[in-house]
Amino acid sequence: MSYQYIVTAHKTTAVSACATGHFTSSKHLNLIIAKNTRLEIFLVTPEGLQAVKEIGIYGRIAVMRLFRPSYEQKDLLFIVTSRYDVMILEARGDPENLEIHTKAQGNVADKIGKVSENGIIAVIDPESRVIGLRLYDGLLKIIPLEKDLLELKAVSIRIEESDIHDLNFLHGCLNPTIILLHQDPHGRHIKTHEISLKEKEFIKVPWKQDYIDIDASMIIPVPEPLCGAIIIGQESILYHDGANYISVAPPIIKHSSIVCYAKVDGAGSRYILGDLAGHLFMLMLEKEEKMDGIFVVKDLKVELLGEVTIPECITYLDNGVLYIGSRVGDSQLVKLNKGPNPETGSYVTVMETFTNLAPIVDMVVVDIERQGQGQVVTCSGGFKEGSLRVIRNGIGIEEVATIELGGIKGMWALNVKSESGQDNTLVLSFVGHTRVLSLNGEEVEEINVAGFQSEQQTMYCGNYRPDIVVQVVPSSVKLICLKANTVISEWKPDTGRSVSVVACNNQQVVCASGSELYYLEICAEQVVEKKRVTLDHEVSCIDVTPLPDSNVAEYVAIGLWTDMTCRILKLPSLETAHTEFLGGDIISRSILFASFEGIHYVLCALGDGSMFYFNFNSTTGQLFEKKRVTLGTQPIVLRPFKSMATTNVFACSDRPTVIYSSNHKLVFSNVNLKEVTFMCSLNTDAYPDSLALANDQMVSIGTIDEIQKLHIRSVPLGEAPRRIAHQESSQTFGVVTSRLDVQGPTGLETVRDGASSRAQNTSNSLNSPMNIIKNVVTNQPHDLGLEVETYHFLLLDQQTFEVLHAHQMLPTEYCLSLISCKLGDDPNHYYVVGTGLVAPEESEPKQGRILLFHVDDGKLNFVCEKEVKGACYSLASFNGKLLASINSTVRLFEWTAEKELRLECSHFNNIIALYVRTKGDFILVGDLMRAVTLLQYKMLEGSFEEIARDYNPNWMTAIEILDDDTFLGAENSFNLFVCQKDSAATNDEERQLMQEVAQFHLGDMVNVFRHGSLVMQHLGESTTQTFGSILYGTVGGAIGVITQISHELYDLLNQLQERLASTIKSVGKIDHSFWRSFNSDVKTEPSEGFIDGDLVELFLDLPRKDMEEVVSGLQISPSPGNKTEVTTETIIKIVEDLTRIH
Amino acid sequence: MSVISEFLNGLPSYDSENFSKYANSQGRSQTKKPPVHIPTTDSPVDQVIVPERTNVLLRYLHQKWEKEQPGLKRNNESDPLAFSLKRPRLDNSDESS
Repeated sequence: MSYQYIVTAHKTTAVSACATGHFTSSKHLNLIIAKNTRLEIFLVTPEGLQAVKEIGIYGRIAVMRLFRPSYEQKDLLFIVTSRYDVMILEARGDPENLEIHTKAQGNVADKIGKVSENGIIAVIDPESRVIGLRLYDGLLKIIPLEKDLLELKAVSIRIEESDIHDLNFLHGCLNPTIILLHQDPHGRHIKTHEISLKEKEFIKVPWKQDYIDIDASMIIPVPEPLCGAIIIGQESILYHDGANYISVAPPIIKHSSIVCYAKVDGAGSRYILGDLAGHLFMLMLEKEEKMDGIFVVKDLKVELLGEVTIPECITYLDNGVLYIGSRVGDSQLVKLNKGPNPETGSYVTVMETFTNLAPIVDMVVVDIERQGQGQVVTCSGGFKEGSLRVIRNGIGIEEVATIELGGIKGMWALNVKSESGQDNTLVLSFVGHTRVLSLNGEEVEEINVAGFQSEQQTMYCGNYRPDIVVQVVPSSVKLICLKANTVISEWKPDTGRSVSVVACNNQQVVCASGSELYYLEICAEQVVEKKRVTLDHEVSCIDVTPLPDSNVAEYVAIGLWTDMTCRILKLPSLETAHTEFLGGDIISRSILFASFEGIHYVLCALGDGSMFYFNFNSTTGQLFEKKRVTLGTQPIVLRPFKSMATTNVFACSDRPTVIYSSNHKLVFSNVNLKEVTFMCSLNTDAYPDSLALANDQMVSIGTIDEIQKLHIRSVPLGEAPRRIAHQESSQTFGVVTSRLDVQGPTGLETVRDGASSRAQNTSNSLNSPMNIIKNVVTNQPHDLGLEVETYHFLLLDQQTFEVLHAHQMLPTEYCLSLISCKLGDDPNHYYVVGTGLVAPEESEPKQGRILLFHVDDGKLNFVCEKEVKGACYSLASFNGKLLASINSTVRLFEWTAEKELRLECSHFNNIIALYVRTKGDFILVGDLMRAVTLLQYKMLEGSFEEIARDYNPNWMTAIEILDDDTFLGAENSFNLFVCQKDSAATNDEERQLMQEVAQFHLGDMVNVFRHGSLVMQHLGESTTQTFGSILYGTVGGAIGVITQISHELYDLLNQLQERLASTIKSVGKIDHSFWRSFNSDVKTEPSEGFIDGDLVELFLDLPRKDMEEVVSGLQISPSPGNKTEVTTETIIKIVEDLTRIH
Repeated sequence: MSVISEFLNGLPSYDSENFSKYANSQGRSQTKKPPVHIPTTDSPVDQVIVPERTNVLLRYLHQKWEKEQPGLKRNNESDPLAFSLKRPRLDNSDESS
């Protein structure tokens, strides 16, 4: 058995549907977006889109429609899921406390019926009398909507037209009338059917039109008073209302296919159309009034407005603003301008972009900065929206200004005679001197402050009062009056030695000179020494920050050399309240009192980049609950700062980290900056709520992003990336891309300036002297205007992502696999690319190549090429040899001293071997339709032996090896499964059979699994044990984590999950267990062996009393047969530990 | 050009204030993520959507039969005194095997 915990780290970002309406209230204008299994509801406001709620549905949303029956005050939402669950949802309450009420629900699946290849079509009659569903070929299912019935019956009507491309209801009809677009061997036609709701039958065909555009694909029903419908084709657009029709063939729509539309005005004379190339068109119905007062359409006008992201759906919001939802690029909020942009001629301005990682086609986990924390780089997006996305767990700093100044040792913000009371000065301390910068708006000017000591390094500086500044330099502690422009008080250590360490909270000063510790207070404009003490050893760091609700500190925290202790001393007596031995031989360099969420802590950072933290008892001065974390490799300086009214701590080091608190636990979040040596809060007129951060070369002023978990950097490529690999030795990424070129009169023409066109160096397989495939037809006579895919292998710099080199593949050559590895005894690292040559008349490629490249000084050198007899779908490095899966074979190649690939052995028992993964001597092969097979390489014989196989008919999309016996697979129907080889089996037959030991419906297609983690792996503190971490990337743009857990933990979480599934009510009333059951064409079986982390983590968001209700009666078995109850606190701790794996 | 101007002139406005105060930050995403809805209270559905109980083929055949033989069932009504072996069904459910 195998037990897994699976959780989403980054939710799906591909938009599948969007709608505008009045959902939360009749007065509100809402935008509703569907992203696979989630709905996001927004309010349209003067400031833009305001997020209202996110709703999870236990199903993949296939269709979403807003509608309003005559008896309702506001819009209702109708949803069909891909498993035929239907629901009608109503919003109740005001936006802050929104409740979603399920007005109606049911399941409309049929036991028999051929599922339509064009997918689920669901439409609602404009007068909301009936819902029409096309689920199965030859049948239309209708649900008459009647207010007072307890049951709504879904009835199927036989429909003669079996191949329906689109279907909708017409407006202005006495009885609900559908119009459909269907195809038969003669062509495509439109036909209308009038429905009698009483008879539940078609009663007549009001009108039809045969032989319309052969590529007609979309019906747009036109509202009253015009009525009728618009049919969108590849080359023409037709309007037909039964009596008249008009057709236009605007050349601008020919180049690509129109895929979605948005109705702009209620009268239905204006529409926006979007095509697969991202073009946005306007469609206007010009009407004229006939003699009897009836309006008829006299012309259709289509014009190009501009280019946007490749749209999946478009909806008109308000005042010329559209929302464009995309599945292959970032979704956008765009504005239609009255006039064209003088440079581009576009009428469209992009107002906002919403990050979308979908589809994730491949990804790698790298640790470029060797920080012990992985970054994920994905191949995302399609066509012109192709991009690489670099995903890191952490916090972003948005830089707004920089000042180039190196060698800063300290930095403090001051208010020097500022009228607004805000900061207006930055004091920068260097070795041997100090500079003062005045910040006036965005201007920076160096000034002299009278009385200020600028010939020494400042150790501290701050405002005691708006007109009095404290400055501590090695020689003394000064009080400077800004009005009098002079030093009004000064204190020096009486030993004559200089101050070595100081801490000040603007009212109290604690400083040390060697092992002498002095406590000074500032009162009545004087610095007065109140107490001194001689300690056993020299002081290394001090802090005297008071507790949050007071200005005066009662304790001071110090770190000492030699005995490696940190101590808490009482003020003003300087008596020791607590001594803590830190152990080891690294001294403490920075110490800080900090309070988070009402809990007091003392943080003590050491010179080796690690930090201890303790809970602090403010009454007794005791430290307890010692914990340790590693934050970097250099000494850390701890600095507090405010972010949106919460106090957080910034740890300045070579791995800058923000420390904050969540659910009463400290969280350490990496900041996306290389190195920070010092920082301070800055609050000026021009830079409110900002931070000033210094490193070796400069000071940056910026704001911190709202504490968020994943930081995503986008590297647009302009063409679709397909595979990615990282090569540490050359500090590069290798990326395979697919570019769409257009057949021009003299050859293929590049349409877009994508990454492959921007390379510093280029090469072409056609020019390669080693090109052994001579019979590639290079002069293919394509039709003019036809789009042709051209593949490139690109070399990118790992930091800047600049394209260093682009190598173009042969015509019709598709790159299918890519790895970086060392081979044999050769010390070089190579990029290995596997390809296949695609000929349309062949059922599968008969030729392909394996290419080896070496990186030399930013260029790709073509090292070796091997011709293979098929498409090389997958590559892996295997004990110094190269493993390749080519069509239905798995082959192992040796790397010879002559730098050639020599075939060693093969395995043949596959349909198409799409994926390979290796571990030790074992190879896991994922097949197109025959699940997974485990092979072992026999060194002595030099051949493969088939050890075991999973005989289930799973169409695989990704595989991964969990351990020697356990294997993870993702298949085509959005399910995951784990199979195990049974090493203890008694006979050969049983040993050959892999058992499926776990299965789960994920609801999204996984394209890639990678071992790795988004979080730092120092979690020794966690008592909740998880083993391993596998990341997955999906077509919907989601990234998730799968980790293995023990049987005991699984049992406990399984109970918790069941209770949560009944406590957290399902919107749409779909059962959680129904949703997560393994569901494919072949079988539907309950989920096993997987814990749904997305559900379990919702436990932490429940109100306390619901938490207790869920936990009561939960039992764990610490030892067999012995059951004990658990407390709410224990469950909270376990679930919190689990949230930290992503 | 004039076609586009005609299109873009007077685009529908539900509330003229909407997007008027939109702060342009060069296309960066500033719309925050919505809070997740975690319903813990149940309200029963108002209506249940149920699939039909009759097989669609049988229903089609019944309807076809009734269209072609409309006269048959009327015979009994014209002769109220005739003894009828048939008694009217009292429940309305359309049962089939």
